[in-house]
Amino acid sequence: MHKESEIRYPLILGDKNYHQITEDVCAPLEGRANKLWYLAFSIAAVAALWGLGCIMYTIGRGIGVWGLNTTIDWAWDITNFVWWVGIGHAGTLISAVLLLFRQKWRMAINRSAEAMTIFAVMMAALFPGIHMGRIWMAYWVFPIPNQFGSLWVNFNSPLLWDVFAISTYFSVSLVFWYIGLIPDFATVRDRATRKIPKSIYSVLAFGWSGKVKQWIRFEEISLVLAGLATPLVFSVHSIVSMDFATSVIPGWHTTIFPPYFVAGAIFSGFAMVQTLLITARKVVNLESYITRKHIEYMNIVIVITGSMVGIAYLSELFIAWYSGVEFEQYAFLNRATGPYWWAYASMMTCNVIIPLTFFVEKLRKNIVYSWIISIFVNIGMWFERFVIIVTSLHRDYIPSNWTMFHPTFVDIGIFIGTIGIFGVLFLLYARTFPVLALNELKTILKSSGENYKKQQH
Amino acid sequence: MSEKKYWNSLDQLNGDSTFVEEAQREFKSELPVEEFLAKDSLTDTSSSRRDFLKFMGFSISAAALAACEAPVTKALPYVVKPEEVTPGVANWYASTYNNGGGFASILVKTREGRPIFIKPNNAYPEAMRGVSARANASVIELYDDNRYTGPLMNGEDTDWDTIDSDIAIKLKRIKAKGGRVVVLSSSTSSPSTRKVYESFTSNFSGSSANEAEATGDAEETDVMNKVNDAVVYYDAQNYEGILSANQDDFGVAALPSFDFTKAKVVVSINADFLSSWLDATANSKGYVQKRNPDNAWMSRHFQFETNMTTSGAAADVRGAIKPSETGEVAKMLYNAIAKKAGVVTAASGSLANDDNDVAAKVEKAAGELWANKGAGLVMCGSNNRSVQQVVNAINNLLGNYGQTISMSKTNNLYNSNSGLDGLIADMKSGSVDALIIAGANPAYSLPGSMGFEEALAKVGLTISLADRPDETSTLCGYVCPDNFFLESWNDYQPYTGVYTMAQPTIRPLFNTRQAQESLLTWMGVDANYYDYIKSVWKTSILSGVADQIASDDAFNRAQQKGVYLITNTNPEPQYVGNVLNAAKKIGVSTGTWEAQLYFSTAIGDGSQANNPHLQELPDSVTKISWDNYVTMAPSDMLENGWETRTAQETPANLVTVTINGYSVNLPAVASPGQKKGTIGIALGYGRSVSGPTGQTGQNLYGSLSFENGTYSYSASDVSVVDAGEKYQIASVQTHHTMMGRKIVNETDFVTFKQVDKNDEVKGWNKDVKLLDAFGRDTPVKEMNLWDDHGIELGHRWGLSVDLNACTGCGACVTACHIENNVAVVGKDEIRRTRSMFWLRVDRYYSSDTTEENAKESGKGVMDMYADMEIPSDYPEVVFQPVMCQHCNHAPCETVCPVAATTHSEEGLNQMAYNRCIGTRYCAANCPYKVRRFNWFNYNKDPKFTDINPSQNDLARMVLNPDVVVRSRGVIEKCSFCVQKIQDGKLVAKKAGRPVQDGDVVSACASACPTNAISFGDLNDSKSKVRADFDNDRAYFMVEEVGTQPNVSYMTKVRNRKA
Repeated sequence: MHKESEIRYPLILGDKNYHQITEDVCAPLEGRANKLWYLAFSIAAVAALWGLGCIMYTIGRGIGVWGLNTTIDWAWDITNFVWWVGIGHAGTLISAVLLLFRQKWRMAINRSAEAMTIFAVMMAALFPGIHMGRIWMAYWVFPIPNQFGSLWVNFNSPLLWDVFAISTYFSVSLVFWYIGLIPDFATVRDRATRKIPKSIYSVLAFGWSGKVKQWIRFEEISLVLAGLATPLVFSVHSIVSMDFATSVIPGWHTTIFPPYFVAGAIFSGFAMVQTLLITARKVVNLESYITRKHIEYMNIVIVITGSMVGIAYLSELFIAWYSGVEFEQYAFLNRATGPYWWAYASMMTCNVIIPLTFFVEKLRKNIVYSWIISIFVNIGMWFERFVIIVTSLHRDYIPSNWTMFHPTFVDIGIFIGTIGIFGVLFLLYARTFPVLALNELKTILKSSGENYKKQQH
Repeated sequence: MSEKKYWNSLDQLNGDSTFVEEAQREFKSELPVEEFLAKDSLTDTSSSRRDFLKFMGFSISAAALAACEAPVTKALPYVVKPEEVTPGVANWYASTYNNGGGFASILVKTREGRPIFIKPNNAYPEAMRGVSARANASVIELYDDNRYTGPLMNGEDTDWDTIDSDIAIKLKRIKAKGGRVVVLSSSTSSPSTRKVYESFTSNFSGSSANEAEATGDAEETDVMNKVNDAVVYYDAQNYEGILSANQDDFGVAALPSFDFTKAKVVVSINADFLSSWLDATANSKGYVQKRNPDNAWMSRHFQFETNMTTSGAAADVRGAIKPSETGEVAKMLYNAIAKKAGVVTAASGSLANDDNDVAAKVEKAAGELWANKGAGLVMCGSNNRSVQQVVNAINNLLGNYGQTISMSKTNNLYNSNSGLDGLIADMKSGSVDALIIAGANPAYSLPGSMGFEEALAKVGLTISLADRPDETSTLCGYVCPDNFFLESWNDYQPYTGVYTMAQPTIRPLFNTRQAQESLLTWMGVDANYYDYIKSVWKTSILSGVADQIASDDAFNRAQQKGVYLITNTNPEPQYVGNVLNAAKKIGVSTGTWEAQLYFSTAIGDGSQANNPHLQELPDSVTKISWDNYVTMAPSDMLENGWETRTAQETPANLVTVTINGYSVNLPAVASPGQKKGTIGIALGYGRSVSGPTGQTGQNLYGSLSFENGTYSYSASDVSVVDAGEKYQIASVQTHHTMMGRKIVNETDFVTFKQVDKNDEVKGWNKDVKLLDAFGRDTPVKEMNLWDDHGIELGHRWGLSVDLNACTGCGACVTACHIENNVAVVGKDEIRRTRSMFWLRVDRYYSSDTTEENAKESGKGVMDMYADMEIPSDYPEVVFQPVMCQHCNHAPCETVCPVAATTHSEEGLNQMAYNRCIGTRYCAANCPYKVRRFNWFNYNKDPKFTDINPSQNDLARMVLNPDVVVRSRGVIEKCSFCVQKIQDGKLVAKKAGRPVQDGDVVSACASACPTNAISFGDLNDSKSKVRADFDNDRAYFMVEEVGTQPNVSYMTKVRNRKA
């Protein structure tokens, strides 16, 4: 059995045993929801309905109900898309990369992080769809045999690469998540007393019986999928960044984009995990499993990726100056000092300056502080995409085209709506899925559990 | 009737009873209805459960299908195909456009009998040929459902017989009692129309003393501007100042014609001769011919003006003056020249607040004019008789008459309005018994103080011949609607010796009748107007042709070609003016604020205000559409704390402008180049009776002072006060300077002639080179990421824009819209930067800050760019038409996920609307931002019902059947008029020859009055566009991006002394 140094901070606090873990994780599924859940759900549902209404209005009337114009052809739509895709990065990173690196602390957070990934990618995938002028033709982006003669997709187009990248990422993430859920569904199934939940969970559990053979297969497939998913963590956002990097627009046409976007994605993903889990551990009493140490670990990832993003921001400025290209130089000067300086300033503050405070140990161990910072990072990362997309487009080559972007209520409604839909999905998930990988957690109980560590003394 | 009977069978022949029974039944055998509907014996019937389901399925789907409304498609083939109409092949008819002083000899394209496009008529003299935006957009007014659909009597629909007999009786009564019948018409140069007017009024004016004059022979073109109380001419835009000055100085109240091609020095004082002064299209054409720096010489152009106009933009030297200084500048110019000529000078003051060296510029202009005697041209936009006399004296002193200015070949587009004052007085006194109003709209365009409406109420019989409701026709008892000009016959004599014809291109859409025919009918003349024109021509214009057959032939050819030219043999009249006397009369009344009212290129005098294409066409200089507004110097606005930006969320300040006691609230708009302390406002807006589209802006005619048939378009009694409100304006361009970029490349004539374009230091159009991976200078064209498209074989279409020839008039924009069915999107969408212009004309102001002077003054880069955004107080202005550049390495083509935009083998960047899914990635990645997205379904969405012609059943008829109307959610853009390319290729193929230069001309190129746009095959070594591309002046916009466009621009060269 895996031995762990006793001076390592325990990952499971309190006097827990295997049964207690099962009890703790299954409690939200089996008990009744509290008022707080209903309140949160109602708010999310209202936002979601409002957003769906706005989406329907857009589809019914045309993209003209947004604030876009001839110069700024993309704004909140693609900003939201990249933002949500970025958020969707943390899950796979936590479950796949950290699995490969045998980081045991991931076990407390990977389930929810992956769920968040799935939901975030769903929200992200919504935007390329609804931002199309003719969404009913959206299937044309897939290279499927068709009745239009020899019409085929354009393999040169980064948007097509996006289609492949996002759909691959989504399906692999979904499978990975689901495979991890099978043993836990089996546990829930075995504990279920009512008929309907029991039958549902038994279908979901795929006949898992906990045999050693099954566990071996489980571990192997997890490793294989982790190996498959790891390149995806880097590919998806690299490809998303190529939407911009392969273009000719100053401020988009930048070779630094792929690594910069991946770092940014992990950064924002962890921030969103932080936001959700700090909330969840309080609401569903998981403080023993998602500990201060977990939060600190995540804060470390945040401060490192945040610093990477910061370096990327500065190198962009440097390269613009170094290139000697007047359009490039003006694009970055305009970002920082033009009409959208406030967006650039928000981005810099939220993404670079504020997360630097995590270098102070006391602050990165402070749970409330961490939660607040995670919100700032979420905001900052939204602004990063807004800055890249809108401020590059609003003043490009020909000054006669220069203009500003003004969002309409529909732009805002759809954005808030996706947060609402995301919230609804996550809240439903929290009531029906085992939010922690309980069977995996049990594997580290004896090595990293607080009471076991004490017993070893 | 035949007694024969046929029978079907022997049974029938025999009258078998079973046959009779059978024959009455629809179905031979019994239908098995009962069988399967029978309740009790369901199992016994032959229809099984399956059959039942089949029946069910059938009846449900039948019911469902019946519920779907099947589209009713009416496609009626020709029963007998007219000989000249081949479906799918356009017919072109020569005709003439003449509206509000705008004049053009045109060719009208008709498809399947519908006029859909207007282009210049090549038979018209080249030096004057061209169509303005107003002329080419006028085609849509034919299909305006706001037009009168039939005669109206006291507002009630009636028929022609009733109204004719009613009017005839009344006229007879007036004649019997010796009453007075007056025709009030807008100016017309039509010999036949004038003849109709005069015979009509002489027929009915019983005891009028003026009768004698009306009966002269048909050669009355010579007495064109003679005052005749029975026929009164009235125009919203008139030139009474020049007419009366010429009456004094030459003894002829006529407008001169100009020959810009002989003018080496052009001086204009407040005359926007390139867009709104006299025959602006003809002026532009002649002017631009001598603005080509590739010629041996290039004219010098001095412009002294109040508002920033297109003429000021084209000028080499521009001085900003107050309107009240117009006469002063004319006097200063006269004095400077008089000194050189050794003639007595007139008393002259000085210019107050001369903040841009006007005095020195006038001195310079005088020197150059004197050095080019007989090759100068001085024009003045003032409507003041004395000022125009001074200008006449200048031209006379310089010997320009007979050279650049002709008083023998007169411009006949505007008649004297001097009879109007008297007419209104007579109407008020009740001495006018019948007033027939044709073409004029005095109730709209006369100041209320003239009391036209109350005067009209005192006239017993008022008849309007307007073709659509206007402010005047709604006040008239009888409305006898005229045909639209595309439904009419007519003749014109715009200039002495130049005759043009108008012929109908479609049968009248409504129950209307040509105005001249109405007059003839009431006179009791039973002739149609066509025959009338023919007889007028035979007795006058063609009277020299003795032979009947030759005369018929000449007339028919004139009709077919649309143009008939005779040599002008009139002698130049002698100058007999007294300039000193006139100069004394020029009073200077200054004010803290002064106003210069103007006619915009798009709306003009307002008669075409209900045309959505013209409302949407932005003003050439301010780039604002759908409104009129107060143009002000930006510094004046900043002093008052008013918004100088015109962006979506920076609404303008409403200001209360009071001119001569007449107040309106209008938004204030910054117009760099506007003389400080002055404002400019466009006339022609604020129509109260027109279609819904026309009712934009405010009517400023009320503020004009009108004396003796003369408007004064400027005023010194002006106040401008903040109205405390904000007002949204729609501007297609919200950033106004070039930010130090080589977007419009510009140089001066001396450098152009003396310095190599690639000169290290002073090179004015250097080849664009970039460093390659090894640090070597490499021409941009050689730096390729992609494989080149094969461009050597077959056609390769290209377009060149000569920035020296572009005056910014916008005729290309409306022509493009109409040719390509581009949607009109209205004010709110324009405000949101969502215009659908496939072709736009960008306008840039120069800035005081340049990269060079910023470096010298040690300005930081941030400050430099911030300052570059601010236009100079008195900037130089350039225009640049921008359409899809049809890049050979198009950024849009690579990024479309569904390959909806691709490159054709002929170099076109083509757009497959059907394939487009609307990701807008192509538009975002376009460096030129020329791609347009269909944000809404402009053809259905309720927001555009009132403005987009394609939503109207009638207006839809103007749509070009060769071009698809785009639906929402797809990108569209300039196609290089691919339908015209295909057509041109087919024409050449049918003729069995290769495509020649000129076979294919894009709509913009055909419309451009100054030939600034050339279109053709770049692989044709003889084509104009090839020569342009190889010209030293040619450059590509932002070539360093590597897009390799098929559109080149030719460097703008100003004739500046370095």
